[in-house]
Amino acid sequence: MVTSDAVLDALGNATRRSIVRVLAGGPLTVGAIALELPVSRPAVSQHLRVLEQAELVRFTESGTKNLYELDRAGFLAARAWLETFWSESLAQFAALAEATQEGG
Amino acid sequence: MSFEPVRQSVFVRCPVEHAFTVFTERIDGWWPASHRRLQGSRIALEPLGTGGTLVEHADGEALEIGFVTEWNPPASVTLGWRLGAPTGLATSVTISFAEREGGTLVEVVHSDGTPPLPDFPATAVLFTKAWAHVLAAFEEAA
Repeated sequence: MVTSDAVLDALGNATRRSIVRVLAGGPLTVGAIALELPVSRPAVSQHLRVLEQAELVRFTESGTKNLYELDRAGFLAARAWLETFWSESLAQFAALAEATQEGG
Repeated sequence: MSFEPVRQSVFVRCPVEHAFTVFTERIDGWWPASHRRLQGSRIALEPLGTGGTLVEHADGEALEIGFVTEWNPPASVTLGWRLGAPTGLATSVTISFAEREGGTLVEVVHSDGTPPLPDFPATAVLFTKAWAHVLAAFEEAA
């Protein structure tokens, strides 16, 4: 299972977020992604590797075409991170607020 | 596509003012250690109020996590929060404090931001549960 740190680090780059935005429209080849963005094809490949490790995109073959598409695993990991963050935070916050209440 | 913010709430046995004060002035006391970028860090809102920045400090290093976008003490506070790195995904979180019998109901709504942030839909996909639509969109295009 991918770590939320890997996902958040991968999404911490504007070019990689642009690649995700482009892929939200459907699976594309590396060349087609590069056409949509002001970056070189090798640079796109490098960013795709980071996104792939974070399970935000995955490689898929369609006939003779090598495509990249969004992978929900990474997004679900990031969302789970957020849910955990708030459940732990609110529990600790409630304990702190009640413990520090004057005369409480 | 429907966007589902992360929504959570907790009931606290204390007055609204105290809940708001603890939440905003003692962030370091409730922010989980497991969700910090820097080990042994200290997290605070500096300064408190409009224009404030949420900063994580450790060993002379300071990371900007977020910033106050709305400050309505003691009813609510809204923060712009970059997830992960300082250049990370922009999100918006509103924490509201409402009086209830015997205490305060604290509600958190963490979303992709209103109005939609420039990172849309990279942020939006994180906040959507309607994955069927996203998947259908790229299956159609295949």
